[in-house]
Amino acid sequence: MTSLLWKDTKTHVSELKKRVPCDYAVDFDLKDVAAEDGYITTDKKSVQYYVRIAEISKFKESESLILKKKTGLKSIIRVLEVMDIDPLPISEFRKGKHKLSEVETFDTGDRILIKLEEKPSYLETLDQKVKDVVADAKKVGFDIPLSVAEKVSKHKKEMKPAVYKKFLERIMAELARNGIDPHEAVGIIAAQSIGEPGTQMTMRTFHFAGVREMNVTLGLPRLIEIVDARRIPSTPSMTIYLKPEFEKEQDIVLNVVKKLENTTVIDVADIITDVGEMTLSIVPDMPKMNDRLVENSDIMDALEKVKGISVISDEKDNRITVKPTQESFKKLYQVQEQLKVLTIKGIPGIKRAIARIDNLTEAWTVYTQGSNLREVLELDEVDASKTYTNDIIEVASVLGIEAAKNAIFLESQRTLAEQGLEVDQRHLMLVADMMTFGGSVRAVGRTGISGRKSSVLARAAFEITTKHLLRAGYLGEVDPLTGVAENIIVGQPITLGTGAVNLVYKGLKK
Amino acid sequence: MIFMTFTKFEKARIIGARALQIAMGAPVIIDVPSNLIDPVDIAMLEFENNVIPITIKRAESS
Repeated sequence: MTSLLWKDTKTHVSELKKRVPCDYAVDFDLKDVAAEDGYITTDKKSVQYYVRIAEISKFKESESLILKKKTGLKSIIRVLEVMDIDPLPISEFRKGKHKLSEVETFDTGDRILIKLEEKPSYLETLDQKVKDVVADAKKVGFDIPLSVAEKVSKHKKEMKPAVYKKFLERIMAELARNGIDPHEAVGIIAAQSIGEPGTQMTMRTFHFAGVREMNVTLGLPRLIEIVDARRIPSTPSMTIYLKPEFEKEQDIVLNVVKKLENTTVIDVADIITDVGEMTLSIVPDMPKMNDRLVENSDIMDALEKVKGISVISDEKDNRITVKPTQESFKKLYQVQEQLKVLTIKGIPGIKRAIARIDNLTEAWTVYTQGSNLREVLELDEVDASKTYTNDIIEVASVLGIEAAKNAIFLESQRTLAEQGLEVDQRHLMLVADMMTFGGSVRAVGRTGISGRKSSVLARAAFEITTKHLLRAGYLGEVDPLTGVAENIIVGQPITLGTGAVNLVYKGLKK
Repeated sequence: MIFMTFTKFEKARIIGARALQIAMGAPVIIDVPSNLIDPVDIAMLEFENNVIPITIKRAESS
């Protein structure tokens, strides 16, 4: 439902409040507007009052009117009620496809309402046929994995009931046979299963196919980066998907690219210092400007925000002359340094953005060098549910630890898959789980999982032996000998596999 | 009587312990074919017939 938004003064609002219901004459044309409610802003940026509107009509002279302005009145709003509300930012309103940013005099917009719904459990969303298979399996006596149930449901018709039952029993047996027994050393198996293919990985960095200046760390270096949980990956990058209504429109996509790329003056122009005149000349480099979709006016807009300079634009010569208001070499130098890194547009951290079209679906996707998930998700056109970054720490801070766990899993799986290596996903899941179960992303290694084992002897066996032993000595640490390394050190069987079994005599059968 | 299902580690440990006893001269519990002389094989035969007087004590789940 569309609401009317307008800017007004506090005195008008308080008068309206006193005299509701009343007629309010305004100076803007509301011929085509049909709204039943409205919002009033006093500062253009957020709305503070909610108004219920009975009807909107053309302006007609009458005595009981409250006038917004003395002249130029065009419409009458019949106001039923005015209420104070907690200030809402204007950006919560949407006009057509775009969010509103400012209300100058009046505007119409739809309030963006986010519906909170509980997601139905995965089982509920499944086909009835699949649910039947799950129920049948329950009768046989086991919980069938849903992926298997889906496959079985497709072939259920081809089988006679007796065969079908036998088939389910066979699945149960296979599942039992494939389960991991308690006390299996899954960590060691995972380590070996990832480590062996790891020896076949490349040590090189590859270039992003067909795109210059863009490369992505792959192979072994990337895998090491993932398990080390580096704060900033060596080549952060994002894959940005747009909302379905925008993804096929080239103009909007290019506009998004323009909004994304962080461009500074030095990226698109040369800065020439004239010491005699005490001026700086910004000479735009047209090929670079076109490449980055920057226009002269963009540079002018950016320069407007800089204090302590006067700007003269020379259209003929295609150069912009900047003169510090205070004449000194020090100031001149400072301004020059300031201009070099002046952001014309873009999101901090995004160095490069490139849009590519999928030939099949004709949908555009934006790839970036550099990552800033939080601010990219804020963009109106971006589909926040699909957009992806390879910066795991950033995922953890923006989306939470469960998302980071999935990111570790997906990134490591992708890294291995790109090299043509197949590692069972459960090994990678184990690694992802181990790195995140503590609530924060922890590295595998000295500073992470291995360095924080509870047992002193295990830590001492891993790295920096004397430091750990000395520290444990003066703190009086107790080692319960529950892990593997400590039991090997003291010469006991380890608590894994057959070593974890306690035998007891049960007596002979009578 | 409900038979206990053993994990592969438990099975190995029981057979191993019994085989050690047999190897050190313990009397076998069931009749063993005369050509079966390896203590591990004998222990396995006993295990399959469920006559080994050993069971396992599992840690109480918390």
